Amino acid sequence: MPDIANDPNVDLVVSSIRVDRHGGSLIPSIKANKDVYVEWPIEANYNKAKEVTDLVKKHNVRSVVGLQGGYAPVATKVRSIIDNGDIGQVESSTFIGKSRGGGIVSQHVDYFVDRKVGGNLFTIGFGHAMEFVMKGESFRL
Amino acid sequence: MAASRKIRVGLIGLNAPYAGAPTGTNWAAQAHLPYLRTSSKYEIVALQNSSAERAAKAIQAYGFDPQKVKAYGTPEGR
Repeated sequence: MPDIANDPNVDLVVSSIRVDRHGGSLIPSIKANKDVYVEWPIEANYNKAKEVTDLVKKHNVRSVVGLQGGYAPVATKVRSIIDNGDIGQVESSTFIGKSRGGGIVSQHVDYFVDRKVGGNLFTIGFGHAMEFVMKGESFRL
Repeated sequence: MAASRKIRVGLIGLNAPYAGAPTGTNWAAQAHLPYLRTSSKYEIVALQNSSAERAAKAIQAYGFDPQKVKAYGTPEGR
């Protein structure tokens, strides 16, 4: 049966779906030696994410995880200010972030409150925020 | 120098806009589609959705040429 994994005209498969379906959507393509892009979080939990990353290594395909926060101009600017010593030696920092949330969740993301799905305001929002904070740097291209 | 071919992308998760009870955040449409549509480096050659019918609907809804973009569903047909 024809599918995206055995389509010879596809070089790169991009998975932008619910977190707990990422692995299933990409594993056939990784096995077919296609390059892949997966949104963060990679999968519903560590073990499932590791299954994907192990397979990527085994098949030696190119892969991208959609953690783009470190490339944001604000992140790169803050990092260069720190690297240049403009504000001296930084001993500590505080990051305050806000995500959409509260007492009511939209029906279209009702799976956000199902912990085993693994895609929710914490894994998504906190994960991206940490990437922004930790990886903001002057990338040398 | 010969022009190099664009990287051919299969995009999973681009839902056609629909009424009723949409699910998800439609991230593919917001974040991936605008770039991929106009990119000089990448081109969309396939969409995969929960069913091939839904992929075909997305191809139509977003104005892709069905001769150039293939519609795929998932093996489980979810």
